Amino acid sequence: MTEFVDSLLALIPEWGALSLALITFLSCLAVPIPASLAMMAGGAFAAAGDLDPLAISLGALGGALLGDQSGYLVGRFGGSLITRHRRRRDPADVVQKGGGRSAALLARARGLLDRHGAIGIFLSRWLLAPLGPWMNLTAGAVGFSWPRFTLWAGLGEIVWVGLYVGLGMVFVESFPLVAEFLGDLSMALVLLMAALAIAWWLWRHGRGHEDRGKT
Amino acid sequence: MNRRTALVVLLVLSLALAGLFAARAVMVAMIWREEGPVATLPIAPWMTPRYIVRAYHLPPSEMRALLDLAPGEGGRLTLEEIAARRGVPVETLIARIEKALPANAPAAREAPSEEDDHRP
Repeated sequence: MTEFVDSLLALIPEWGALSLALITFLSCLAVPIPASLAMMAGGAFAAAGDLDPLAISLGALGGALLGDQSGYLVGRFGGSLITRHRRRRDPADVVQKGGGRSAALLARARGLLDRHGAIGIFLSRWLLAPLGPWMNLTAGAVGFSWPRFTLWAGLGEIVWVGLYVGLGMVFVESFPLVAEFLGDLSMALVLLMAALAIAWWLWRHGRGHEDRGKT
Repeated sequence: MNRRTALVVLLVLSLALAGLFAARAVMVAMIWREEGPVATLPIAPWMTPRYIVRAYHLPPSEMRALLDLAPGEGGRLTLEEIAARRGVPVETLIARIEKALPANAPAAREAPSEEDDHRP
């Protein structure tokens, strides 16, 4: 393990729940910090009798929920700022060049999130964790319903924290290996989904080309 | 390069990367299966005495003796902090613990094979 990870792990027994809250908070804001590994370490220290499992779980959950809300707020504020700025600059220009297209894109993203957002937000907390921070920003930017975001993000974070603290308590001896395995698996899943999304787009637009060619 | 070509490149790239991560996951799983449920890490400065006792199956009394800890002392302190308080390098404590590890621990596992080589 790297020196950074070693010093991160050294913080956990000393600062307990507080260190985990800070780590999960930062990870929800896309700071590249190994939060899953940290939670597993917390679980392992809890199993060894150094930390209280409930306290560290609540700490990690608190940090994650706060991080999600911050990401959502940044997205919401940033999103409205961009659209207002563009509108003010030159309305006609925006509609003609790109502006109309990006507005349509935003509307489509919003439609997609309205239809499938709940499950996306839920899964991007734990199974597809690398997508989490970007999902928060997007949900805020497209104006996804705040109560629904809070509900599904909260449920997802409960699964994330429970899963990783629990795994740490079970795999006390080998938690870094388990963390690496799950991290790699999560990345493979995210990349596979990205590939599927691109393939789907290409297939749809490829068909459009052929149709246009025939007429 | 038009948008279509760029997307095809992106598609191939993400599939290749997905394969790479999946292969790494399989490799880690194989190491994990081979090692079994024993500690796979060398003793590190971030570990606490209780973590070492639990993960490396060392008797608590032996751990206390190795680190000169009074009963109840050293809870939640990492080896690094204990070394700093004792004024010794953390490597000294790590070497002391690794020597005392049961034979199935990773640090102790290599030592016996060396001895085997020296046998006539």
